Amino acid sequence: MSFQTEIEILQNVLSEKNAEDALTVLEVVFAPRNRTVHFQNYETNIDTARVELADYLEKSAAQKTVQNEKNFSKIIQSSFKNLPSEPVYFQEYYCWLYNAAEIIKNMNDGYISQADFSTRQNFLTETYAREKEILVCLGLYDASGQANTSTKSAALIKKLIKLREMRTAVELVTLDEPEREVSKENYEKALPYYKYFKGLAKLPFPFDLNQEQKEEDLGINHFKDSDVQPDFKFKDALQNKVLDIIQNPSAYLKPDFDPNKYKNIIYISSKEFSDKVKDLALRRQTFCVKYALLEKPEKLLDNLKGEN
Amino acid sequence: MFFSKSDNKDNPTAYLQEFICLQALIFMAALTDKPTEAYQAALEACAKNLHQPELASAEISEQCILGSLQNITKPLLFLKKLCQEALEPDGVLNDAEVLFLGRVARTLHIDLERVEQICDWLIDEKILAERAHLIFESEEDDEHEFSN
Repeated sequence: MSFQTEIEILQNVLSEKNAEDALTVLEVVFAPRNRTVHFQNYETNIDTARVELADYLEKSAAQKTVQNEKNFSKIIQSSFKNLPSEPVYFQEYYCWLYNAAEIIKNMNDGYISQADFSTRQNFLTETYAREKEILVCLGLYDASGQANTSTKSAALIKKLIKLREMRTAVELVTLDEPEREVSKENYEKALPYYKYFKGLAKLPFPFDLNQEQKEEDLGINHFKDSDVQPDFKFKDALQNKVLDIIQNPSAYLKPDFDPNKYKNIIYISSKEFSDKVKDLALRRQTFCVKYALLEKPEKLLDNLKGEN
Repeated sequence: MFFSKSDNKDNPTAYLQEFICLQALIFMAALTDKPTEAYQAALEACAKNLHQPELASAEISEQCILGSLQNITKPLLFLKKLCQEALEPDGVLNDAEVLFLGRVARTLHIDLERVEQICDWLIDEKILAERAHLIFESEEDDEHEFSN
């Protein structure tokens, strides 16, 4: 399990687009609109580059999900009938729906096996990683200021809301410990959520239940999250995040990484999960990011100074 | 010693590995305020074993260490040793240690992901030790009764 920072996500996209020598993360995030930049061996407007990077980021991430999905043929059979001809951004959504429903089913069928539990944990981890990528994408669309991104942003925001709903549902109705029995009470609590995701899978994106009804019946509604409201500035959020990381590289160790998730990954019982163990768990999977943050920002700033 | 049980007097290649490793450990000790008197004494003892007692108090540059790494024949074990010492006693790497270990890894052509794997494995050892302490706390003094 690893947690890429926003800077790493952008560095990877620039690298994959062969743009990292000419365009820096700082330029992508902070350059004023209409600035001329070098992008893939030609000069262009930074806003155009931002849209291209965001499109690529979202498409490649969605493609990766779909390509890695072993049950894609089952998903096609059990989902909205036009799924095979939908763009990959929406195909990914149906993969998530299928997996969320399967996890809820398998984690409530009487016994939680190691395999069931690992699948649950992997799914939850993937949702956090994808959420971060989607927010970076939205930040780039917002920063570009281009009118043609408003439809893409709106669809992406809806996808983000659904992703969060699936994660919340899995966390609400599945237990966070493997190799244990599950009661009938748990099964009955999980059933409406399973039916909800199975039902959504038959509908075109982004059809949904009435929000108030969903909140009342299922207790989940990420439509009210502050960062999906019409007045939320994704560009400002991305810039703030990147500045936070550059100014305090060690800060990435905090809230994004939940040491309680580590407890579940290596199956430590609560009695052995002391403050010292939690503190040690926080230190895992931090080396690469910490090194990148300590080494790269100097190079990023040097690039900027060189240009001036 | 770090890589073998003898001081490798008659094996120049092995001796060189030990020497470079000791240099790196002395350099790393200066990066933090962690080293205890006991650790400092241990480094001095190693320097003496290698017939280089002045090494323990010498000023060593990072460039000098990175330049000598081409002589390392077992880069992963070398890196493991550095990570092990850097993570003592509390599993924390400070910024200077992270930068140094990252640069050593890059010089040895080791992926940073591998360094992270090594660090995680070493942290897991500490977690296991702490868990054992929590489980067997009340009987830890009597451990010898059933030890291997």
